[in-house]
Amino acid sequence: MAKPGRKKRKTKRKSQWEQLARLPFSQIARQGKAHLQAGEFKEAIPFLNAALSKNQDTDGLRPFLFRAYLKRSAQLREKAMVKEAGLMLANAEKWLPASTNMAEEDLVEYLSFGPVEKSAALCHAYLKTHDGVSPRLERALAGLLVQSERWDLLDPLPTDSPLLAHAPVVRKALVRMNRGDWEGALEALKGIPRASAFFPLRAFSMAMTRFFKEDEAGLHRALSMIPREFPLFPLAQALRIAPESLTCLWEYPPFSTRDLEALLTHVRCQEIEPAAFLVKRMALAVLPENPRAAMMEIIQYLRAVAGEHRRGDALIIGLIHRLLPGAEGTLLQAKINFYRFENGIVDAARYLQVLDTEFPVQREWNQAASQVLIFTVLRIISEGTEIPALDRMSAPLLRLLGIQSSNQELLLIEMLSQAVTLDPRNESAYRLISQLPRPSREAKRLVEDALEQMAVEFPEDPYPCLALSQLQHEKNAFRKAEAILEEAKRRAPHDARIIDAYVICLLISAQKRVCGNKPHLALEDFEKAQSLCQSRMLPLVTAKRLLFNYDVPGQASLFGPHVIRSPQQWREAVAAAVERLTPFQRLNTLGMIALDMEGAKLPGTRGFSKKLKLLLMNASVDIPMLTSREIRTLLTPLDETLYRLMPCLERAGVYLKHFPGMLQGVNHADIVAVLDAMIAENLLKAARNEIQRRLRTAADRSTVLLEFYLLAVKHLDGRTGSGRTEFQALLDRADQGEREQIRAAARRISQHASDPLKTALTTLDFQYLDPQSAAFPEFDVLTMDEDENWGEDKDFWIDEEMPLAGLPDMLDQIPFDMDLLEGDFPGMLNDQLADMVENAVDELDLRGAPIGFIREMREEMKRQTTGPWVFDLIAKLLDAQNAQELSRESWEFLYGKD
Amino acid sequence: MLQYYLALEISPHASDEEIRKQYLALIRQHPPERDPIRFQEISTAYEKLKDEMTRIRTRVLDPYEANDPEKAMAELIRASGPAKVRVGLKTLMALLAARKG
Repeated sequence: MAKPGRKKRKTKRKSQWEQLARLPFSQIARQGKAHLQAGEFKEAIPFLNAALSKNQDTDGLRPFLFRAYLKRSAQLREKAMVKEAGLMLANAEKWLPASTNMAEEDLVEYLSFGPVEKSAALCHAYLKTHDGVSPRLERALAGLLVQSERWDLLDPLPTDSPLLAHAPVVRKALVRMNRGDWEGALEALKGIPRASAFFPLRAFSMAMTRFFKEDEAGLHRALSMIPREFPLFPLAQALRIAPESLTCLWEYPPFSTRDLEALLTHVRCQEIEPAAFLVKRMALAVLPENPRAAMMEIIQYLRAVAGEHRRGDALIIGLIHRLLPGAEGTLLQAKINFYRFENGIVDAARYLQVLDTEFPVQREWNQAASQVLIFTVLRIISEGTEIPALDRMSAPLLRLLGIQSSNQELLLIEMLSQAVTLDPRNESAYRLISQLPRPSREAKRLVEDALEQMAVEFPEDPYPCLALSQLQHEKNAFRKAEAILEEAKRRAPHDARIIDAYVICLLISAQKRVCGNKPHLALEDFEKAQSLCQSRMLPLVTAKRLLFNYDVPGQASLFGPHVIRSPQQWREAVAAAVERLTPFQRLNTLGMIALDMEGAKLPGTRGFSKKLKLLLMNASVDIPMLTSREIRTLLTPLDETLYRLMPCLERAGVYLKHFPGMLQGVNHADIVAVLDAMIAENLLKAARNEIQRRLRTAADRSTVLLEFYLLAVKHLDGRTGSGRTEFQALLDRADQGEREQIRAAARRISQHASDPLKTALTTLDFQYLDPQSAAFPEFDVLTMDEDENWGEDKDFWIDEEMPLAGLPDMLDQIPFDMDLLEGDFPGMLNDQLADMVENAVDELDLRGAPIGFIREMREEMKRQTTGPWVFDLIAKLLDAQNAQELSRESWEFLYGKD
Repeated sequence: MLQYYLALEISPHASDEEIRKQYLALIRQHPPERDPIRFQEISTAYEKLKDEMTRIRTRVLDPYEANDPEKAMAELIRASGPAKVRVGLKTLMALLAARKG
């Protein structure tokens, strides 16, 4: 389409031409030259053309017009107007001056852009008629030689010309370059100095070698040495900016980071077609021998980019349908659903159903399925995923997951047992199964089987023995535990964990034997424990041994050298035993004895307690010798592994009762752990006093955390009625780091609080402490259950416009007492209900819709429903067979997680 | 997991032994003190492919565990970089001339 005003411009140009033609020749020529000199080539051209049209003797002006066209051509090329530049060059060629009249500058300009053959001919003529060659012309000539390989152009040059000297080397190198042997060419050109006109050729060879060596920095360094006027400069430019544009250098069209950005933009904008095209291209570039495998991987990554929403789902499903129809697409869809894990174990089972597409070899399938099961268990634990009613899942799906019972408590253990069975070398499955709670006998049996298998599979690993011994403890099978620990000791003789476990096992056994009136056997256990234990367990063993003497005075004397007859004698025995220990071990031992005597309410005389008190008083001299870390260890609870040996694990109360001043030895870094222990033991007064003391003496240290503790302790103690204001003021004062510390502390303290403080601490929202928000609305489940008329509600979900005709009639046949329904709902009606759900999905146009959309639709319909949601009832009524046979959409509509 | 194979410059069907051999050869070529980035890349790739169980785990769970999928994709294209073809100067200049035309 013609530009508007084109005719007008043409008329104007014509009139300007007529005006020019009316001017005298000399004036036009002068103005043309003036424009040329001023670099106004576009303006110079009409003047010079007009002048030449007036005067037949053109020799004087031809070179000027030639130059004007050449320069204008260069200008246009700079502006990337290649076609227009070509036209100007063609015009220039019409006014080519005779070689004798040609300026060197014009020749160089022409050689830069002109066609190679014409340039060579022109150059040849010029060199014949001119003596001497300037360095600039030398460089242009070198470029021309590289392009044309017209070595005869060098003939007219003087014999001392450097071009002549370097020409043989360059000719040899060019042969190699044309073969693609860039390293050979570089080797040949190594004698070409930087000052040589051929040096850019050497730089280009260097760039190409760096390009093939993937040396990006070297490539750019070499390319920067190629001057603009050298004919290979455009190639250098392309290599620098967009090497993928030089298509002949690549086996397949490369996929650049710019392409990746474009792909990500299309994905974010939900543009399926261009995204699919780019995925295909990327797959081909990444793995040309198997682009489908590459596409699978790329789409899995794009899942996260597309976003976890309905539109993102639609895009990914669209990509899968377009690029991976068939089994691979089904697999990918199942895998993506498994990653999303919205339906928990159902998604895992569905992925397992199609896993053979990804792992067709049985051995690999087993290993992969084992990984899927472990991952499923970990997600259920970490995310607290709801487990659907197991009787709603089909037997094949449950079988795939290894679930055999309908007991939800066993579910995770059964899945891990299956993982172990599938891949007996999967160490993480064993470790995970040994850490799960095992409340029932069946659970213990499964875990024991798995650990025994692990002990066989990993004959040098002490872990299964340790875990098995713990399990035997739980079953009160101490002799078995001991035998297993013997094996563990054989496997790892220097492992402190095993020695500790062994010592604990012996001490438990000894305790049981004491209770069973077998002190001689108990003594054996004590002696064995004593001989085994290392410094960490020494206080425990010493304490237990001394308590044994106290517990059965006199009896031990039958088998040992010491006879305990009186509290005084016991005191001397204890003093002698703890004397050898370090101050920390001494206090630790005495603390354990005190904890045992006080906590377990051991039978005995008052005299023993008095003696223990005296011993503890004597030990107060040891307190100043303890480090802060040691005091912290004494005040924080004992290790959980000792729970069978001690009446309780918390012992801060025992120490603080006898040594209230020991808190002063705890430094700022350790006090938080100590305060937590005190709060756990309800030592609130002591905690409050200590915090207040520290707040009084705090110099320039930040006290926000301590103040928070004080406030929380006061609330726990019921000593303050203040609401959120004080907490909020503290939070406002805290910086980011302190806020995080407060958040963590609040969570810990909340375990010992009750509502509303508990909720306020858990959420760090202290509005809950306001009197008006303290009362939580209560939901009366009983009232709701007793509402027998819900089915007759006028606002019942279905209205006339809903496409679920026949549903109310169907529902009329369902008895409302759900307890009567268990297993008794007629099979035929069940089939009809399933059909009806399928029809509803069709009517709602949900067939083929993404899962997210189906759920969103259902939630929207639920929101609009004032009565109960009828499909919940249907979901409960459908038997497992019908539930399994539902289509994907119907299943999601009924059972999909919100 | 393709990027790991590409980083190790090895076929997806390579055996444990081949993977280990290639890993050792590559870390000899790219020691950490001279080429820390490449060394890290090689080590990560080896950790993901070192034995059959690890490879299967990577195949099943790696796309889920990728913290930054965009970075993973960028690594994939960087590691893959389609094979370069050795062409001569004349071919390159012909391409340039065709473009000019």
